[in-house]
Amino acid sequence: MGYNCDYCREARSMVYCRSDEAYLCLSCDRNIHSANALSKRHSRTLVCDKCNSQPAVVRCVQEKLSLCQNCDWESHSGSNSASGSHSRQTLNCYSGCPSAVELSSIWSFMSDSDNKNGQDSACEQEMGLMSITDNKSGQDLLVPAENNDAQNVIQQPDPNDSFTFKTSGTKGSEQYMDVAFCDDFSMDEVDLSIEKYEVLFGVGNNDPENLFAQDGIDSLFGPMDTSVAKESSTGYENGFQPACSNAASGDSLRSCKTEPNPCYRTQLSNISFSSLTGDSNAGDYQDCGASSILLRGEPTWSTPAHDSTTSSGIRNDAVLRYKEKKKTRKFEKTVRYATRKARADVRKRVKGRFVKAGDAYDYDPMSQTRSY
Amino acid sequence: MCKGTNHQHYYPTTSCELCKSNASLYCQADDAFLCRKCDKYVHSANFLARRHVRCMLCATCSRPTHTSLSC
Repeated sequence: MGYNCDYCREARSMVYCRSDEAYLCLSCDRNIHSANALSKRHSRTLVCDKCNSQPAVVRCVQEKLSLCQNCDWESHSGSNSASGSHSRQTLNCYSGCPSAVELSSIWSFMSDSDNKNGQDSACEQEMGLMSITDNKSGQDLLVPAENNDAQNVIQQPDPNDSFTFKTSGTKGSEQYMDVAFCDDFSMDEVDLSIEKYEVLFGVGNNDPENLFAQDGIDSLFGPMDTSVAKESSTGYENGFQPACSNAASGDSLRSCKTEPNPCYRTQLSNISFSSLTGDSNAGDYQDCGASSILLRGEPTWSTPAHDSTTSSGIRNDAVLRYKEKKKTRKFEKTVRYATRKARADVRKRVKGRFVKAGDAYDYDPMSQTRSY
Repeated sequence: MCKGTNHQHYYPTTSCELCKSNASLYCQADDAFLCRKCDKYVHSANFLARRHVRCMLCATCSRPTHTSLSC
């Protein structure tokens, strides 16, 4: 980054491409940005002469330097009143594939500099580097004759240029494969995640029925009976994969980490963890393996007495649910969200009702009223 | 954000800037809407182009989403 061209790493970087966010020498800049119509549109600008690490924004006429914002501020503001009076020109950006002649006309200050003293090393480098060949037309471009010794004619044979094109082309074709693979892969991942989502939520819906069917609601809220858990768990452990064993609740959670079902059940885990793990294993089975479903499915649906499709079954379930919820009713003043209470406490009101901020109000809890 | 139901409104679909077919990606560095084929062609040219972050366009309203190409 900075001094050397980001692409060839050999030559000094001359321009900065804003779209690619890269520092390039003039040859690489031409090669890269003539590749396709989109890259031709990139706007490039000169690089700061002082720090070589940022794009230049101004040209100081007196010092004959292109400076970035930082270097310009450092050298021209501060305590130096003399340098503060230097006149500065803003630098233009260019896009497309300009030839060296065109570039020198854009940056006309380059050709004006130091004809008397002989070339600055930097300027000389710039002019030398600017005589790059045109890949398409195959012409040799001469630097404008205004400079005395800048008659560099660098002739790069065409095979060289086409060679560089070819290598980038082959690299590109390789990358085609990778890109294609990556693209398809990413789409498949998306599909996978959607499928899993439906599967998991389909399982989640069935679970309440299973819970009621197997152990009844009381098991949900009963004391932590490890004996009950063991009965339900041993029934299921026969066909179990070792990863899904019920030995520890953490194991069953860890075995299916990608599913939200364990998370869903952890909310209820405070109430009765033991019985739930037995049931969660039933749910896990549907996802883990098809063979295990045969073992699982029968005990789940083998008891028609707990079937909830008949009207009496439905009513029964509703009554049980009502009785359970009745135990947790609370008629005291409860605040569900403390943040909402904080907001409500400071809102203006009219006749006890909230009003919008700009409207009239007859009670403002923020205003301090004194009562004696 | 649109919910994907295009029954109510007719959203104009942007066209790819190179081949004029329907665009499915947006490249922020190039500031261009592209279809997948042109995107493959353009952004496989050199490693600088490969670095560009492209984001998928919503299928209905053709606005850039937060999903980007993972490559």
